[in-house]
Amino acid sequence: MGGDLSDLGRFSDPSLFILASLAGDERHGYAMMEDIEVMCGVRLGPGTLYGALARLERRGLIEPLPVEYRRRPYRLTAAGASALRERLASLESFAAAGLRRLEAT
Amino acid sequence: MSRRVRWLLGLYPREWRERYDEEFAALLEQRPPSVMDAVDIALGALDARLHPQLAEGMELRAANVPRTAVLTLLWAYAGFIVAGSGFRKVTEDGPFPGLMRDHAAPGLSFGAVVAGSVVALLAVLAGGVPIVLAALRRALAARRWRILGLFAVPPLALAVSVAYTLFLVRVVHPAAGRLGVHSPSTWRCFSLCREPSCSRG
Repeated sequence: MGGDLSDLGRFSDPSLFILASLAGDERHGYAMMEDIEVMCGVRLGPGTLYGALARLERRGLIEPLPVEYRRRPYRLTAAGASALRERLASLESFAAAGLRRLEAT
Repeated sequence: MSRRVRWLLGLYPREWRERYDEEFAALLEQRPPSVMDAVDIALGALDARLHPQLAEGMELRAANVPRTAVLTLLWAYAGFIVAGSGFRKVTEDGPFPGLMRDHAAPGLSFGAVVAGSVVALLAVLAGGVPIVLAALRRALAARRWRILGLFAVPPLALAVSVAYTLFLVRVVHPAAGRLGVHSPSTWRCFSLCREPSCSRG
């Protein structure tokens, strides 16, 4: 299991969006898609969503909950929260460095 | 569940469907898939077939990255073989052989493409045979008869093709057998043999 999302290839960004969506609350697939669209302006396709969900689940970053009316909610694990925090901190640092350079020009 | 949703779910491997089928179907019923979604689902199904361990409870290993890379290279090589073989066939007749004789550059380019496709064919055999054997062993171990049946498709297709060609040459148009393989008459015979005019002779 690993918290590094960068080796997930084309599922790297969708995985980050999913972790961020689940940081707020446990959600099922459709709710995640809606939430991600509102939060990031990105419309994930169903195939991409479940490709990323399967990878995150195998890595222990999210966990499935019992099915409710044919829909299965997922929630963030402690490892998932840690991986999300690490990734967001890295992005924050990157954004800050970029902005500093822009201001210097 | 609509027929379209059922068909899209059918693209995924059985193990994946056993794990995700119900919730995925519920999602697709809640948000009916657009054309772009259908393409995304088809790509997701291809990914699930390339990474069966994702739905089998196995941990995602670093080995998956080279596995995907090897499969990508294999497909690239296979594509090059098809392109190279096609190029070789379409330039056998017509003005191209003369052009290659008289001018060095097209001749060398042609030779490079043909040599490249032969090397690619050898690479596909070297890389593909172990993959095929592994898939065969796994299908045998799991008694997946449908997959074993799929392995019979290429030899059966080859046998049908050979039998059809022999039927055309020996029964429908026996004159073609006495002509050169690449003569225009032979190709005309093969291309027209299904037309009513052919059967009339």
